[in-house]
Amino acid sequence: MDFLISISEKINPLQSVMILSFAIFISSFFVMSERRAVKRFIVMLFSVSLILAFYLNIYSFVSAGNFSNVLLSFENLQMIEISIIIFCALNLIFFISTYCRDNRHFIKILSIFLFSTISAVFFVLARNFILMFVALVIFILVIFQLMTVLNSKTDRIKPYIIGFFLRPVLTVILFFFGFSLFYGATDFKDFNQVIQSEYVSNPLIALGLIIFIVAVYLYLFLFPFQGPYIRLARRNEFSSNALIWFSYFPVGIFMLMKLDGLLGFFIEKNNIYAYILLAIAFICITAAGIGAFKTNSLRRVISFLFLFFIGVFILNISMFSAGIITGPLLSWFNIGNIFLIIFSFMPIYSIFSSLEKNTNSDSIDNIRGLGRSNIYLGINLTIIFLSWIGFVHHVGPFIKYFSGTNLIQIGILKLMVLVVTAIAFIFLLINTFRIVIQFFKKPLKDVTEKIVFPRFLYIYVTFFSLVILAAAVWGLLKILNVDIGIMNFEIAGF
Amino acid sequence: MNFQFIIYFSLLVFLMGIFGIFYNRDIISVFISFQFIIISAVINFLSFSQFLYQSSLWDEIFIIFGIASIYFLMFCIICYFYLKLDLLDREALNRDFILFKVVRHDWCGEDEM
Amino acid sequence: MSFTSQLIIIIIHYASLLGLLICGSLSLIHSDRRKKLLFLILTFLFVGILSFVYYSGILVFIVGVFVIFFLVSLYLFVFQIEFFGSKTNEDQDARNNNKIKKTIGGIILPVLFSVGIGYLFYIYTSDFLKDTVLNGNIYIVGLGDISKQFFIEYGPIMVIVIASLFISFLWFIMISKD
Repeated sequence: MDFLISISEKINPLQSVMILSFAIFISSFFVMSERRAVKRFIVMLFSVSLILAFYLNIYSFVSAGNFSNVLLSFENLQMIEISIIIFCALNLIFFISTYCRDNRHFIKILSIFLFSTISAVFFVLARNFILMFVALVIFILVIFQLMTVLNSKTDRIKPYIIGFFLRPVLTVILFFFGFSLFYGATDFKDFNQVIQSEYVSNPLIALGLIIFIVAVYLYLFLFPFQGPYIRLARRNEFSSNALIWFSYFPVGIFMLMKLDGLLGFFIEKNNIYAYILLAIAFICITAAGIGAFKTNSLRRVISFLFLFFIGVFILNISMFSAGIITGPLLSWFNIGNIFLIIFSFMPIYSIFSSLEKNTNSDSIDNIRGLGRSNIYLGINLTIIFLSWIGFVHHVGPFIKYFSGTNLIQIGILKLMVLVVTAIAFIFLLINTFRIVIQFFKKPLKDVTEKIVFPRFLYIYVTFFSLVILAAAVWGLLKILNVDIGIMNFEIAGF
Repeated sequence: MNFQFIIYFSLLVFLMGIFGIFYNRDIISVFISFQFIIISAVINFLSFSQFLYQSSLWDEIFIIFGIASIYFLMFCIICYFYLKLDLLDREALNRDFILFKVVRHDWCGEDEM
Repeated sequence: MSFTSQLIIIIIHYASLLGLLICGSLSLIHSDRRKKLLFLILTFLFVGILSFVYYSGILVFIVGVFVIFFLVSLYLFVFQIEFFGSKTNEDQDARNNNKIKKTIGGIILPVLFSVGIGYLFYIYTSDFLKDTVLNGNIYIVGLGDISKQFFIEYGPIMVIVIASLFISFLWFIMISKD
């Protein structure tokens, strides 16, 4: 035991990476196998290694505290982000196992997928610009490789995959250019050093930051350039769609969160950035809300709603730039948003993909009457969709401005942010209720008879509904100021 | 050697790359446009290292790792494009891979499969 | 450094910048894909000469491998398709359509956008670049210095890159088998 603890201390904070690398190493002896028993063994091995990595990630932070060296930085936020990545990876193993189990390259696919998780973890941990950049490029490369292999049987998908991945290639090239501008201002090698230095107000840093923001904007396929993502999501194989939503996009969001500190500095100096961010948030939220409402394809609905929630991240940054929320609260809002996305979209997509597989169509008519024909799933899905009403916590910070003050006095920027938040909430309600109402309409007979859900899906969806219910109860108790001993767990120190 | 001139020159090369990205449609031309942005970043790194810092290896190491990883990524994309291609299909090279296209059905309505 | 050698370096510097600009422009504008790639290879040749001017010639030998490998494979790929592919009327129509599509509107908007970005960059940085204090010392980087830095500080990055090569090997097997 002491030996294990001493090894753990030596490799801190890379314990999770070591476990996953070891799992890939073991799987490398079985890569050419196509036997079912071997596939099951590899799935079990990778699931156990991800659970162990999840535990070690939290344990290493709790026991050893913050860690920092030339290349890596491991703090509170990194611990949460890595936990999110590993949790998403565990769920993606489920998706890949469900839809690619009969693929003869199944074990190779899983090995490549686990390596993408390792690259994502390195990206999150990275403090040095070189490691950050290389980890990002390797991550995009591995995701590209996964997508091409998962879609090997999909007809005519190749131009859409290439069209999609030209965008992240441009992202990394713009990052390369942005880092060259940073180098012109200062030879500091990480964002924290740059923020704390005297060179932070250098115009080359400002230009580099603009280039980074444009690069992240392109990476996340925000409006008006969402085309390749929407088109690919419609045609993709099921597990590769899940890969985009639960692996590719979270890393983009963590990329944006790495730039928060620098962005905050420049926003304080010049309000124009706040207005630009607000305009981008407004376009994303409105266009995604309308796009989700105006389509009958479930895949497009989810794709647009995903972009909607990414617009909410930008809205959070706008709220911070307008001074409505503080820096620590911005991190909390972002983390809360990520949890909302993961805990709702995963079970929703698992059900919708199963529906599409059964009916060979992703029309919204497939979910019509689901609440009547399959009451259990209908109730679970309703709980999950209604969890989106939790977005209303965004209105909370505005309340202090309305206690006895004139509306005009709070300032035009804060008013505009409030209007955009209200519009976002309205669009979210419209889309939520549009889908929930479908569950309880009269079913289309010939569609609902064909649907057979795997048993594991019931357990999977129940887990997420229970977590959402627990979070809702916890939130309610906090609002009512009821103190229960076990509920005092809070992650502090942002 | 005029430092300001070099930086504005690298900016010019960067703008050539940006122009190429918006103007060109087929995949080869898009990749060529990407090269200009990379070249401009390399000129930035080298000129800043030469004129502003002494004995800083960081830029060379960044260039080595950066170029290796970016070019490997681009090579894999080209490899995929090539391996999955019908060799007699010359139209594949003319196919539209324009990066920033605004199409109605990407905003609302349905997408024709 | 003597005046003559300084002059030679300056001449080579400006000549390589000019060569880069000319070959780059030709590469962007030319319609034939193979010629585009040839001009791009020439552009990289001038970038290589430029790196010698900036006393980082070692980069040509390390980085040049990746760049040349990529460009040559791209050139061979285009050459194979254009040489062995069947010539069709649609090919000619596509070229004509491309010419018609690249109208004034198709050129002016990107030019205006690029000029706008350039102007913003110029406004932001002109004061800073004028006031920059330049370092007159020369330090020529050697392979030994780079490899020492690699293994002392950046070892984990090397490990990740090499691991990605192994993983990509698996991918190549899968793609070529399918």
